[in-house]
Amino acid sequence: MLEAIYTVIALQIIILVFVPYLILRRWVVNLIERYAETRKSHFEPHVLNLLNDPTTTEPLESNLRPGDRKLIKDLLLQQATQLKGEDRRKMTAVFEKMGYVKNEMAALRSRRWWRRLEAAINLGIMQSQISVAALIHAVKDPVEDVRLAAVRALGQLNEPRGLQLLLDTMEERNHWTGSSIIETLIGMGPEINPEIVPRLQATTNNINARLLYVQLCGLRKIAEALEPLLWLLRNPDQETRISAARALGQLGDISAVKSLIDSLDDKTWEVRAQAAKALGALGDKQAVAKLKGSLSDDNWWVRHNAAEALYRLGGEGIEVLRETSHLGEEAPRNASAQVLAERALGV
Amino acid sequence: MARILIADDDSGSLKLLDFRLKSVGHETILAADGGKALELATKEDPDLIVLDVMMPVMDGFQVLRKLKAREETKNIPVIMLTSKAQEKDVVSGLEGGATDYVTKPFSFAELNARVNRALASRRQN
Repeated sequence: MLEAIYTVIALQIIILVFVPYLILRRWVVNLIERYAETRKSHFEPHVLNLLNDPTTTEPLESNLRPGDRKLIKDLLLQQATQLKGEDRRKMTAVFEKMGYVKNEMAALRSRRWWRRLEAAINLGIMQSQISVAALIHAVKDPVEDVRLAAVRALGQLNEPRGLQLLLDTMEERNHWTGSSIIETLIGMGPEINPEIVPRLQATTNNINARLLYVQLCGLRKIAEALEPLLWLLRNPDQETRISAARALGQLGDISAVKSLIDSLDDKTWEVRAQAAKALGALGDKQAVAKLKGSLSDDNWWVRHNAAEALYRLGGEGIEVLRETSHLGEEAPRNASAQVLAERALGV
Repeated sequence: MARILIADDDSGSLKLLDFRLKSVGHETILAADGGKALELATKEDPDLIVLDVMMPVMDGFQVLRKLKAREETKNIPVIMLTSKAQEKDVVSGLEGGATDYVTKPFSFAELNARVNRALASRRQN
């Protein structure tokens, strides 16, 4: 009985103390958020106006309250990530003028690794050439995430030494890291293409690196990669053949059509499926006859991709689908009918 | 100059586009989701629509399909905003009837040129 009373009393104390604490905490957080929103609304027009005149930084540097400088930095970074070209260069000039680049360079020497990481990421966004030396030094950071962020930042700066580091890191790390580096490489200018094809050709023993380079060649549509990719379409490794077929579709060069048609007979269904998809993307009607044959493939994905490709080829391809959707065996009939129905619905 | 409807769920991107297009003399109408974009396109009859792909309520492709299916909106040129020029997004957009596309991050000079081209083409038609 006594225990029950103590329990009730304890619960009441908890409720009387804890609940007001939660309410007060929520109220304070809301107040802080509202204040931040008010300050943000105050600075936003001035941040936007920098795009018209990057020298008008005075409203962003005078009468600042505690916390304003960080808020302004965040607004500038957010704006910079949405821009490229001349507008992006204006933002870089603003970062330099307002001292943010120097601050982040100093932060690369912080004892807190998360601050160093944030600094490397921010310097990548700021894209200031002043920070190159500091970022190269940060590539030797003891923390891997910081090293990776520094390498990426150098890549974003289109710094040649950075590119080498980026490609070396992509080859040496696991597939996940390599894929995240590819995201950075996709956004870089055409001047990096001459570096990529020779590296692709040199990946004889490193399948992981080869797959990443093939992916990169396709996504960047590197015309010079056509011959190596056609050769890789015959590689004994099936993952390589699958990636090469995909990349050839992305490249958009119709010289690949004959080789891709041959790949519709590959022993691996994923290769056949990718080859069918690539032929649809390339849009050459000489693939129609062979794609019609692929409608009878053993594998559903191959049949589906072949039907999609025929639809994309238009005219003759759509005629084949219409014929097949009414006549013949069940598998090709279903594949054709499904694609025609999906397209009619706008799916 | 022209009335342009901008549809983007990212408030930063929306404000940026609004600011930039106004700075070259256009009048803008803003929508933060696909449903609102469709409603405003029908109600306000803009000269051009800048349409983000990834949006809540209705994504850009669904909005585009509905715009092209309606008599009152089918002739409004649409410029799609896509991230990183994913090939499938670009193909879907153009096949769905979009006039043009711009990838994010975007260069305003490029966007402005495509806007002007689309508006000129609409005037000619």
